[in-house]
Amino acid sequence: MAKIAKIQDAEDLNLTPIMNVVLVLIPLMLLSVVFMTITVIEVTMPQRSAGAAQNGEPPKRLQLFISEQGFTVVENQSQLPAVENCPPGGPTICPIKDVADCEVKTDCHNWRLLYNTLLEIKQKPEWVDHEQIEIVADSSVNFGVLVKAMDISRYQRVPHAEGEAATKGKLLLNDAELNDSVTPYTEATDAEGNTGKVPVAMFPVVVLGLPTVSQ
Amino acid sequence: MAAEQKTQKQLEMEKALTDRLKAKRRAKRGYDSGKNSLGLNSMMDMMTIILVFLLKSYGEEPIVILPGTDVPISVAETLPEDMTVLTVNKEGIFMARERVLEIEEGRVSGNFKKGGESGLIIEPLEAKLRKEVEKLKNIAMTNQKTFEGDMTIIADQSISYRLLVEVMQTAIGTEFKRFRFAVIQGGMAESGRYPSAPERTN
Repeated sequence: MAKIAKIQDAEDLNLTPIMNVVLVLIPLMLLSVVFMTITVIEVTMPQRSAGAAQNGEPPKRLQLFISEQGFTVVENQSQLPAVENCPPGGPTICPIKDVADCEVKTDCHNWRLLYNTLLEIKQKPEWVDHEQIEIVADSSVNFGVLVKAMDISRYQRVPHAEGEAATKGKLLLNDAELNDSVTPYTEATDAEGNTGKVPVAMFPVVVLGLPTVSQ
Repeated sequence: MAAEQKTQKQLEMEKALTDRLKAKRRAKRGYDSGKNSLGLNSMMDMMTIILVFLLKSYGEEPIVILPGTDVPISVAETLPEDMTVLTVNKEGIFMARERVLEIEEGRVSGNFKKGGESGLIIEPLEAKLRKEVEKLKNIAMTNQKTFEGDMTIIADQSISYRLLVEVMQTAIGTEFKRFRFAVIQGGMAESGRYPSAPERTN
């Protein structure tokens, strides 16, 4: 009788060591898992060998200069004048607050005006097919500001409520509308003949220029 | 008295019998006090599922953000691919977790650059990238492909534009052509900020 009881006891697997290992592994992995999606922004820099245009006509250039004093938009070598409420003769769009006082530098720039200015340029017939924007910043401008500038200039946006129906971007009336805005999508066919939805572009090709000297 | 004693004995016997029966029943149902055990099967199932899920998500990320790197948020939607990854944060320039160069006060010392302070080419990084390009070219040749020159840069939000351009110019000098900035996906309201940033004041 005692022998039988012993054999029956031995049949149960002892899971305690496995449980111990699993219990250690789970918190360890939970700590290392990052619940954030990482995406990428494609950029290029002018190659040293890049020469001038072959024909006599100079290429169309849209440039955005970023500094602590604001944004300067240069359309085909001519600088856009300062907008209303910004000091004349200065950058096209001045910051909302003094950038030097901001802990998070992106919070002080007037992004909505920059978006509207770029969209107005995009809507001009001569710029409709243009895809490239050259972004040049002061040496001291931080990477966060550069990322936001690229977000603003790469794709067109519409207020959140119109996101589904819209096929092209709209001018945005206030900061809340910009913060809630979404990118409209259109049908497009790629080189291999596949049809799919793509975001409506503004100036999606970003070329970074050499830094200007801080003032 | 004798009758009373008998009943007492009878009662004791009856009690002993019922106790034995109860114990038997308990043993049958598996409630025996000596062998009580928790039903761990469902918990084990759950743990196995969590473990498999975690193991999967642990290995599939092509980009690993090093600690101490505040990657900015962006509305970009393009997913990263496996390629050469450079990390630039407040502490230094890293290539695959290995520090190539130390950064002090947000800039690279002129001693490490071609042409001193105003130079754009960082020499230790250039040497490291040249070795990497050589390796990548060999791999591409073995697989009968061409070396594309793609690079992903994971940069801290506080890194200056100057440093970023220095890193990119050094990479261009070593045949890298296309660059991608790694960012964390988010909304336009958070764009350019970073996950641990203080609340907006305006």
